Amino acid sequence: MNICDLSLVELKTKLESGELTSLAIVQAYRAAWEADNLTEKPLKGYIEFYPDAEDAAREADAARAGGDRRPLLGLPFAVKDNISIKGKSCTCGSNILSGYIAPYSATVTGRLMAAGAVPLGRTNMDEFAMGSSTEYSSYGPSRNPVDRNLTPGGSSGGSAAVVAGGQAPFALGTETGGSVRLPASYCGIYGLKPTYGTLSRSGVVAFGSSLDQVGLFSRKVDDIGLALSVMAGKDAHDDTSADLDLSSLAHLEPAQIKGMKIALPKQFVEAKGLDPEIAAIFEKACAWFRENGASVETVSIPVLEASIGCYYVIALSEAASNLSRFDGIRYGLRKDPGQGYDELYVATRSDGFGPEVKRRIVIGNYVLSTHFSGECYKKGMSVRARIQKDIAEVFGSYDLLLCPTSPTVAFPLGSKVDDPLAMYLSDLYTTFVNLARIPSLSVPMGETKAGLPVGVQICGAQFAEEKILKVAKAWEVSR
Amino acid sequence: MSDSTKSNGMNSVGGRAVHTDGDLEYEVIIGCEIHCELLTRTKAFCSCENRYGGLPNTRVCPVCLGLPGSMPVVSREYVEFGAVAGYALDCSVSSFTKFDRKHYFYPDLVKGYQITQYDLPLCTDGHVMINLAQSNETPRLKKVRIERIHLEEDVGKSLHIEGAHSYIDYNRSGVPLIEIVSKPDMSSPEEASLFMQNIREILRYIGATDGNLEEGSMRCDANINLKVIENGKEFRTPISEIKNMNSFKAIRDACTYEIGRQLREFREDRQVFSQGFKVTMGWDEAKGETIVQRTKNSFIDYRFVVEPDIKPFTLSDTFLSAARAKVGERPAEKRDRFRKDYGLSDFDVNTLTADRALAEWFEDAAKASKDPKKAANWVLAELLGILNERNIGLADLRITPAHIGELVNAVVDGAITSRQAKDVFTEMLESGDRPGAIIAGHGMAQVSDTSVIEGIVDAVLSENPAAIADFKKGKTNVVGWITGQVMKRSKGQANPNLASTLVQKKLAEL
Repeated sequence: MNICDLSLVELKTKLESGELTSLAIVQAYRAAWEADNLTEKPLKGYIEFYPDAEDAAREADAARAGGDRRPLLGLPFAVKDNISIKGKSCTCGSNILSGYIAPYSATVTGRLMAAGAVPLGRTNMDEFAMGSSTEYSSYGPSRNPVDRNLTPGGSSGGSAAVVAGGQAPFALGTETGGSVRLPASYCGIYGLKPTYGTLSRSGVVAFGSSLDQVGLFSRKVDDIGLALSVMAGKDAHDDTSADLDLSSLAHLEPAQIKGMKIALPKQFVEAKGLDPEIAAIFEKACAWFRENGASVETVSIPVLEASIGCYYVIALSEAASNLSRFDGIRYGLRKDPGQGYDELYVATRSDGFGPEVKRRIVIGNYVLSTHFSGECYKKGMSVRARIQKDIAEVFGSYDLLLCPTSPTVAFPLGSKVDDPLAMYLSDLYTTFVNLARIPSLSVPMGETKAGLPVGVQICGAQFAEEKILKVAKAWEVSR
Repeated sequence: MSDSTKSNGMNSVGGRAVHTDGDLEYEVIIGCEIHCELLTRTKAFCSCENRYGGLPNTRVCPVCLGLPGSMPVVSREYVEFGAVAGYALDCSVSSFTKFDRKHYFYPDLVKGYQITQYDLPLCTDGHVMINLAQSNETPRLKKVRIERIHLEEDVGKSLHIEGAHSYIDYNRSGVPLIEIVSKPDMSSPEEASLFMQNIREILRYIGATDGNLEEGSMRCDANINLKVIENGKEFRTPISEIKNMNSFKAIRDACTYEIGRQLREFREDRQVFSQGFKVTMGWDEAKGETIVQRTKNSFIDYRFVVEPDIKPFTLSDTFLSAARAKVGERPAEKRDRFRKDYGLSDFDVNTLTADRALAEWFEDAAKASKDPKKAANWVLAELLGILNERNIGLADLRITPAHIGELVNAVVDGAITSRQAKDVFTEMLESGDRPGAIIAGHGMAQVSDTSVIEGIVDAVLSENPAAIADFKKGKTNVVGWITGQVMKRSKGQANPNLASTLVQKKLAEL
């Protein structure tokens, strides 16, 4: 038995039976991480493997010996570098937050730890979650465990890499426009972007606040259900969090596919840029649904054509706003030429932010400037309202919406890093989900001839997480 | 300044006074923006205590420090205070509202933006009536319209202590403010000052703010320019915005200075108002000058964006009507009622209502007494003097309004004389004893018992046959002398009217 191959639920069973200890699990993961670091092309999924991870594991083991039966007691998880854990660094893959130690825990990490989970370490990401390859990290890129010359995707590439690469059973990422689903698809694992509001954003460093949502990575669908069951629900620190109880997701039964109505968005599945191999895998996935008694229809949702433009207008406007607070006055990096605070801001932000972040701040501020008198942003908001409405209507008639997660498979490191527009188009199929605030799970549904994973996203109506996960479970058990 | 306005050279055109300055005629146009801190228990968007002062950076948390990942959650009490203030200033309060972000960089601003309300302010279209008359004159009211009131968080405080470093105290960061924006309805520095006084009085009355000017609880920005008429042609001078004034005197002085400066500048370079042009200024109290802080060249683009962390929200009818009910009686309404109900003079009414606690104290005393006017006299002539002299507040007194009521009634009922009442007042002020107890304790109750006084009259008459003889000779003035003897013998406690009547009656019977 290789501990590092076990799923979260399998580890839970073995911890509860006494077959394994939390300490043994954490040590196994540390050993895997250390061994990988010695290889020629290490994954570099972790920015930091917490030196005190074993201490938390020992505490969990002691608690269990004392009769503690919390649902995640002793189970390990990795966390993206933009989600706070009290007393740990939280740098968003950015130089500007170097030295910042979070004085409080995010609600999501707080709830996981309150349920007994043990944080292993923080994972690499594109700076401030802006990117699709993890290459825009001030710590350097992570690699794809499937093929180490490829990117793991981004921005939550580090989290995807450690889960797919056997260095953690489960990890948290964040999404603004596909930053969990894209790397999940590229690395061949599950990646869920929950409904906006399912998980609290408190303690999660903001990028595009009206789009941001914490996401989850795992190798088995049950694991996502188990974690969601303790993480979801109203949080007094986040006004936009939803009042809901997902405790039933701790145990997932496969869904009854028969009779389900499934929509395929014409604008994506018949698009020119779609890799033919991905199209073929997607078609096979559709066939599986048909074979199991679902009706699968292509529907036209014209507004989807506008989703990527709309997304960048809103996300970058909000990003420019959210990143204003990093000014070198209170925490993180400070560069002070000693000529007053204006010069301090310029020096700190010039040195602290990488080129992609600066590009997005500039675009976002341009969009919000009096040059447009706010019109561009307003137009973005009205297109978004239309996307929300049209997508909601689809779910009036259909149970699920299915489409590929990405038009391409994982791309080689360095191939798009100097072509921001090509990089932005990696999000072509994912941003509408964030704009529409619906949940979407990227499910590994096949491989290309070269052996590269292909994800298909199963999208549902708002707060249909349970339905999506159960459908994925039905797919998983049929393999 | 060279303003040569004389009362006889001043005309009222459209409600705005026209002044003359040499060959120029001009009108003054002033609009105010008042920032006012509210007396909520917590800060606007976190649960930190909302209180002035404290050791620097002790009343802070991740939210009001704007730490990465922190999110604002609107205090319900904040919105309620905003709505109450809106109703108190005769505004419409919106049942649907939201927050926005206003961006600029300054070290005391923790997030690089301030959470405020941009295009959907909580309150709109209100007004106050300012009184242009002196306090002893009949009120001369002028309406000043309020364009909007919006909610906005306060920022930290920069402390420029000697040395190479500046320090920032974030205790004030996130303190709930309302910003009250007037229409440019004021036409003199006095009116601008009266506007702020009026707003302060109302908001203090309803308990929305402590209005403490020294602590910066209320700050006023004045936008001022002139309409200059030269040879029948009209010009508008560029608008100056004088920021952050925190006294009535500063508003008057700064606006007065600015009028002179704008006239001078107009004569010198003829610069006129153009849309969007505004000079931001500070008021240097020591020098008595306005100082330019920012011109159009350093224009700030605030890049407003919807605050995505706070969902737009609706205010229920129940919430709004509860807010409306909390306004209670406003100062002007109270003044009207005091005039009518108690028949008090304008001067007395103004004094009694200047402070809500005093007005309520008086009213309790008035209600406990049979003669409210007398109760007012006690409060105005005696009590306020004591408070001033000893520099204490109503709460420090050992007497309650009921004491004054009882004292007034003792006089009205003829139980004691007015002179005795003063002694009772002095004593109860020290001891806190009720007037009844003091009167009984000293045996100073006025004797109104006819048989007792008759006994004294008989005794006095029997001892003074000469006086009776004089009376019989027609010398009626002995009545006064005899009554005096009766009073003396009763140690002043006899009811003087009754004593006089009885003396006359007995003499007539003899």
